[in-house]
Amino acid sequence: MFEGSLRSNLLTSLPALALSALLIILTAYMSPNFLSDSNLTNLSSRLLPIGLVALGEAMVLFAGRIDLSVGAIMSLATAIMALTSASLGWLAIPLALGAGLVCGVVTACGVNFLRINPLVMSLATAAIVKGVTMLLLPSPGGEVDYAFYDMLFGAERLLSAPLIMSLIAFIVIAVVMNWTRLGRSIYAFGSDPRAAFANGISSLKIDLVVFGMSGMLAAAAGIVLSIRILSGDPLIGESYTLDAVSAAILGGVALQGGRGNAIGVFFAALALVLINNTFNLLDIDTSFQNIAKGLIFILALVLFMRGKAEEH
Amino acid sequence: MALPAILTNAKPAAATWRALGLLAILLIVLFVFSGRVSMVQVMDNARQAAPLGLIALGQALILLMGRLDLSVGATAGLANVVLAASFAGNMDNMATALAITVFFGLLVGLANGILVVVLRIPAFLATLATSLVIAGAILVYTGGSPGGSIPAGFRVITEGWLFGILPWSVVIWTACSLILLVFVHYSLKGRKMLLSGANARAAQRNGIAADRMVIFSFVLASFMATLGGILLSSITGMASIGIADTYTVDSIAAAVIGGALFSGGVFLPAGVAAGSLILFFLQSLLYVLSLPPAARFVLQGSIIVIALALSNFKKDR
Repeated sequence: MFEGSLRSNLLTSLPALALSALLIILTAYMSPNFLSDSNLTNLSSRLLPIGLVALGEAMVLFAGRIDLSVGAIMSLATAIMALTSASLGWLAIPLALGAGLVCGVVTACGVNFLRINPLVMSLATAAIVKGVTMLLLPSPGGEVDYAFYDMLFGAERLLSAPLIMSLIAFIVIAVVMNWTRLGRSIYAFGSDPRAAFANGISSLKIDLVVFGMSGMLAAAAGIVLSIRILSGDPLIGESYTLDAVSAAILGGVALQGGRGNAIGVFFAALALVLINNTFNLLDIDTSFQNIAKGLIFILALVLFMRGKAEEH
Repeated sequence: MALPAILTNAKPAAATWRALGLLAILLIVLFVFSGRVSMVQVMDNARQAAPLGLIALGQALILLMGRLDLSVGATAGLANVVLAASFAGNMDNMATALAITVFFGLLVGLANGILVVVLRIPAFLATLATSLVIAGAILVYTGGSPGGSIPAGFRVITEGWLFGILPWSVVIWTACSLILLVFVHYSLKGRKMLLSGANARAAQRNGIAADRMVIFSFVLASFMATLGGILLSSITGMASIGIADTYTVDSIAAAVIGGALFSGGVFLPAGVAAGSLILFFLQSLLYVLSLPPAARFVLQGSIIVIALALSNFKKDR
């Protein structure tokens, strides 16, 4: 069951697992508040958006593409939630998810039909999405129904709804990626698009699936975020693009495609949340946090990507 | 180099002609709609487009090497904050202020180059990380409210006109474009850059230190972004946080309209200048039509998609 490529893929998640374990021990040791119910609930409510958006980014990277529009899509989703959840109620959620899907499909079409480099195409999508978001909601505001908050973040315990939802999302994607025809095709396409094509894998299908999923997962992350802040914010998602790529790379996903595992991304997302949490517990200024995040990202890239670029 | 070879090289590329043609059409449309034709008005627009023009030139240098710099906006913003703070509104500080600003700009470029070449991080990720670090550093340094100002004497570089017909900033922009054009296409080092950008492996096999060319291009691009930031500061006269953030995507759009390719090996300063002007005119058109400011982002994205789709379409045929 854990043979060949699957086993080596699972091995890529070990560094992230070790890192998050180390961080848990460190933080728990440094701060007695760490294991309190309220901090653990807080952790899992922060894990969910980063986890979802990183999972989407990882799917795109498995296929050897990249998506720099996820942050903008998150902001769009918060705006849609803030503007429509009062009138539409539950229907605001599928609406926001649908918008994310449309954004992903637009990127996929640009990449596949117009043959634009995914990096630049997703940057262009991000600019367009940002414009649309700011047309809808020029400044932070709007209102998300408190009932959503109660549902998602109401209970203060370790096995809370956000944690369960993160686990389900990651397990589902891990299973799909490793044990289904579609998942294996995505890995195959990421390792060698030409060989995949020769074996009857359609690049259009792969692009639509990975960018569509990435758009929808980013929208889902945005929905969670808007429920947490009970409003919308046209710029809130911006920093999440880098977080998503960081988490994927930290989790052992190769930028060249075909390598990595959702499990690793889960632990990497957890590590990022823990790092943020440590900053907050230690009362470090947010502007220093930005610098530290940039440096951590560079460190992650150096540690995890060194030499891989030469193979390519 | 023999004269015929120089003349062959000097012939503008098809992409440059396309960009210039598009610019001409745009100008005609603008004139027809506004009902007024005046050179002064065009020059005044060019004056304000100069910061974008310089930053886009830097981006074009990176695209020439087949890479992408997502930190040019942050670098220009850094120049703005540093210049205003070190000037502190006093003309006597000019030499030190410029030296400090350029120093920081070169530092950013060197950091980018080292991350990309020595640590082998993909350029767009390395520069994305650098821009985050710069933004954080600006916030830490200024505490959210940047101080200082640019003295009126210095602001002549964007507010003053040569002989009353040519804005100084257009003169600076043209000079930079010409210098870079001559450097890249006619100097030995520039030819080495072109070759490394077009095919790094072939360049390396022929004894060119392609890696060093990449570092050099990042330093040069950050320098251009810093110059752009200096002109921008001269226009606004003060420091503000995030003032140049939109310039990152704008510079990519301008370079791409001007014929830059993501595969590298192409550097067309005239095309980049036309691209910057086109983008600036379109953005002022949005303003004239009193569309909300958010529309400019939609414009940015659509222009990149259209320009690249067209260039890919041509390549296929």
